[in-house]
Amino acid sequence: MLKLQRLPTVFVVFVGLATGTRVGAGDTAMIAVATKNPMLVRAWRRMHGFGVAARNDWHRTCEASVKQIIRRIMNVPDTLPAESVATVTQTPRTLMHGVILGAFCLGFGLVLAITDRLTLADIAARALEDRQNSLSQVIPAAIHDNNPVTDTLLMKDGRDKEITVYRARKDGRVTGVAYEIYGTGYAGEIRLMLGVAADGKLLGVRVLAHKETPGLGDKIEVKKGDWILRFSGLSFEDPPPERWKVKKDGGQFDQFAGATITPRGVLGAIRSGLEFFAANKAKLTEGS
Amino acid sequence: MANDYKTIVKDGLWDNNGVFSMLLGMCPAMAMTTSATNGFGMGLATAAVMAASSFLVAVFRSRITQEVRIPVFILIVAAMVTLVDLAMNAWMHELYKVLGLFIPLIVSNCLPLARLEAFAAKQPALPSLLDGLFMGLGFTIALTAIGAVREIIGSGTLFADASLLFGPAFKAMELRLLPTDMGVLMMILPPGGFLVTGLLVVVKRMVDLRAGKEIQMGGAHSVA
Repeated sequence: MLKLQRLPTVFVVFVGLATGTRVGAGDTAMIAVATKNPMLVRAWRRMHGFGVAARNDWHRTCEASVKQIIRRIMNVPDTLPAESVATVTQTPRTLMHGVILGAFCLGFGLVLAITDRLTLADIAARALEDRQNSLSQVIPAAIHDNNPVTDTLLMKDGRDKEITVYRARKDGRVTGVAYEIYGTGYAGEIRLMLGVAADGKLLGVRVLAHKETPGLGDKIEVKKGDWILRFSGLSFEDPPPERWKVKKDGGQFDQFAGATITPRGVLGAIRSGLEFFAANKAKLTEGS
Repeated sequence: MANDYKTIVKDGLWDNNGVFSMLLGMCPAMAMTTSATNGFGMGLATAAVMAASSFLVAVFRSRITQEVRIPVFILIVAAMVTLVDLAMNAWMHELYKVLGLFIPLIVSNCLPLARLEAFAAKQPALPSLLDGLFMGLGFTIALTAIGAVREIIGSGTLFADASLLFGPAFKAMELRLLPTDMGVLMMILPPGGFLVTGLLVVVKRMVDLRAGKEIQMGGAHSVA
């Protein structure tokens, strides 16, 4: 009769046969060790020469029965002598490697899952603080009495990309909005936060992330230069949309020494951000 | 045994330095060293990951079979990196904002893997922990040195933004050695990484030669 303890052993052999892996009886024996089937463990040790010689009848019985099990599992005909069972146990332990690798994956996966659980709340809190920080730079505290981080609106921008709009309200009326804009710089995407007052004037622009050349393109960061501050108070009325370019492209904004592509990217982003505001003004400032 | 530990420390920090002798981990050594602070932070994060993964590999070394050792090693390094990444993001957020981008890159650094293969897979837990730690610290020294040279020549500062990394108390570390705009920009760009790394390797070998030491030719297996 099939005992419950032997199920893992049988299962491994079954998987091995089904997937075409060469399962050695050594594998089954190892699994037996792993599942702490005492009879199989002892007999296996004996067969591999690790234990002492059979001391009594019980030992011999164990040995005989494990050989019997291996015969069944490996389809060794009863007519073959016991030595061929021993040969079968010498087949390579291909599956063992998989089991070891799997065990490590499982173990470390578990550790990571636990860490993720432990840090989840803190990381979310930090991300919220970060967003609050970048928002507070483009939305002056004086124009709102709500928390813009939680007063959001999901919209599609001109490129059909979903963006989150943060709304600043005073006494329930929308006084300004902020949203992320994207430009193409010298070394990839530049992410910025744009703040626009309800009347369409820029409240401020700040770089959130960029990969521009240190020492050249990174002057768009507020801590490395004041270039990015010049946009506050401007709008599509002053200067007109076609002048929202770097001087090299016929616009009115300075590029900086050694870098034209970065400011061009930033200006392109601001221009599209203002276009987005112009196109959606009614919806953005609803209730103001 | 004490002598052994001394060798491990000396090998890691100088004699068999990961960057200057073995020429391993060149990608972060050149990409991350636009300033001394960046190099230092990246080095420390790598050292933490190396110490932890060397220790774990040494503990499990008898269970890891030869055939699957490389995937298991990478798994352990990757798990440690993810752990550091999550923990730093949650509890050392300011530091994370500076280094966060580079921490995942530690997985692809060949120095940890080389030390696991050459040392931790064959040695007991404690020496392996020390080997990982001091190899990592040697890596930190190398990255800080490369970063410092590039930063001084490239932007005229030393340890700029150190206060972002370690806290406001380290503001005093931030030095300006040359006036603004005096820097040679090329040193901060990728060619500067190659130049400075190469020159520092030469300097290290000259020091060793002068001290009458035999030059250790590169190779992860030369100590172990």
